[in-house]
Amino acid sequence: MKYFKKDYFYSLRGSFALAIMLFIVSTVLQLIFGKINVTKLQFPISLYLFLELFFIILALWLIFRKHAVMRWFASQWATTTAISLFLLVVTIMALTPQSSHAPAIIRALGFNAMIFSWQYAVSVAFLLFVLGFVTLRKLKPFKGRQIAFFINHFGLWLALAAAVIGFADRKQAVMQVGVDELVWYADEGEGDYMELPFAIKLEKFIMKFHSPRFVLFNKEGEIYDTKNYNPITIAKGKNLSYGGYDIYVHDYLEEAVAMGDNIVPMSNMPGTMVAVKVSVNGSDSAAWIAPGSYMFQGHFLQLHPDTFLTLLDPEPAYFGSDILLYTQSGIASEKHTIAVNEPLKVEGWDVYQSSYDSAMGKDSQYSVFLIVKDPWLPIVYAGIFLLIAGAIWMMFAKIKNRS
Amino acid sequence: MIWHWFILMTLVFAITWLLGGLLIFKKDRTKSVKLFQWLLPLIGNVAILIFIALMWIELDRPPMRTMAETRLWYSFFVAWITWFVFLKTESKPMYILGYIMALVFLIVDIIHPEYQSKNLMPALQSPWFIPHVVVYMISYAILGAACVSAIIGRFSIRKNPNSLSDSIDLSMKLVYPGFALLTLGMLMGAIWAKIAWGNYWSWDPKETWACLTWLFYMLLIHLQYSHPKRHKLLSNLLVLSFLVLVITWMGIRYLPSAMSSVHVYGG
Repeated sequence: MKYFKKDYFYSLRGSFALAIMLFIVSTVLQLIFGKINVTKLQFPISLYLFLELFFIILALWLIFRKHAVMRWFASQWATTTAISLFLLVVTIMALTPQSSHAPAIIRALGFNAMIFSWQYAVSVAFLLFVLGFVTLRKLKPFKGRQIAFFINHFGLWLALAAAVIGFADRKQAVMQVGVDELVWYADEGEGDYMELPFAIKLEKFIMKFHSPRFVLFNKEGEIYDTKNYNPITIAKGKNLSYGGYDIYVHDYLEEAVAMGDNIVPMSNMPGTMVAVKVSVNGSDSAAWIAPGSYMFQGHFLQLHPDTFLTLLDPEPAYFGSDILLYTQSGIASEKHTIAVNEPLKVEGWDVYQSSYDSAMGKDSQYSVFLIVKDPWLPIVYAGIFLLIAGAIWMMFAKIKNRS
Repeated sequence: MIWHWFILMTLVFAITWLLGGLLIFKKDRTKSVKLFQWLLPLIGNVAILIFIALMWIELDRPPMRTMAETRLWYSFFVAWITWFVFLKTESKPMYILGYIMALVFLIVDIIHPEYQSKNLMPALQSPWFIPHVVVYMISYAILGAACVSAIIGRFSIRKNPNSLSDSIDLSMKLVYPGFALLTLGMLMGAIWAKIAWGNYWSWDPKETWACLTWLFYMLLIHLQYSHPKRHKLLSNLLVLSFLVLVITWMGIRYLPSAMSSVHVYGG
């Protein structure tokens, strides 16, 4: 105990040194035990862990709050150690690619999978304890600025503890649903499938596009980077300038098919593409240009021996799925639309529009959904909303107090 | 096409800020001198606002997608914050360095306008897009001003030993709201990520760096609280933190650890 009374631990240098010491110790643990297997920490263990952490911090504080060691743990010195230790871990994560393809030494140190490493675990645990003690120390008197302090620190504690401890309880899987197919299971990866309390039938996959863009390329198919600011909207009857050429748009077809060298409008057919009829620099002859699709070749216009004009594949503006939903708890068939940024909540799961058959584009015959279940989310969000409240307070109250 | 006017407009901004800057050094402080030293840079600030508004109308989407567009917003906020800080403190170095910073980012935009398409990918089409970016840009601008103030303090320490403590004071006054906005930007990003990708935090390289930036400013705030007299340490940390911030903002796509980031958008 004498050590904690020594001035060293009550100095900035000591705080930083302790952070580095803890980092070295946890690195040794990493070298000995290797990557932490987080799946062991699933419910109910995660819940016990969360409650234990909460009550141990509370009990330690209530019993030992007068003790020198505890006073240190609830001090600015411990705070400095906790923040700098976590900062060090995040710095390594920010500088090392987080992937399994890493040199052996990096893998042994755990630097390539930082969130499963002992260094991460130790730094988060230390941070949670210090944050907990500091919050308790400042609880009295509970008024004025102390409330803001509490909101910020307890909010962070709640969000961080729930996010880290609940990590193993977060389930994520992929559902691939073909048109008119009914699917009630999801792929968890590595050949594991799980049965779901709901089923999805895909009625229709919907895709919308932004208007296409011109592009110039050479014989090798390399695109000329025009680099100029060019928010062109292609429309029939428009005179446009692009890459130093004046382009007149005779015709614009959203859906067209190629018939030999000609392009004809055609809708409700697979493989249709956008097509534009243009003439360049006042020329009398007009030609069709089109980006091509999985069924038809692209059309381009030769402007010079080594310069060709065509359209880029239009970029997706929207994709989503019209589905029918069935659940075990009684929904027989309910229409929904799931799209990017518009997930669907069902039976404790969130269903996200994830992808589609990119080769077929708008004609994709299936839709891919990501499904996620995160039982700890309400606690994390409670922490996040406390932090938001604290940040708003900080923005206004601090300035007032200081001026 | 509004962007074709960008160089000319930048010249307009620069001239108003420069003329205002000349007036603040004018010896005889008549009423009209005082009026114009506020009014001239204000004209530049309003002009940049109008430029962004016109661009927004023409693009038919919030001009916040490409790096060049975020830099434009940054210059806009730096210009306004510089104006307000000067109004409050009358610090001439803050005026000069603040507006130089705004100009630097405008000039970077002239050199690297980048291909700016009208198109917004589905993931970015969200009500969270605008608040997330705007809050971050205001925060970056405020924290940039805090960094400038710390640098001014370090360089004027020989002339006036108290200058470092004064400028750290100003820096910290800026860091609190800047850090609060940084927190808001990050948390709004987390909520949006949950809606768009299914997870509020995935340690994507941009997220990792954003967390790192946040931790640097967190350390700064706590060190200033416990060691208010360690001015040199605090000013070093102010500059270092801003450096990390700039890497988070613009350097990510050059890092080997960030090649797979979902935050690297074309341009």
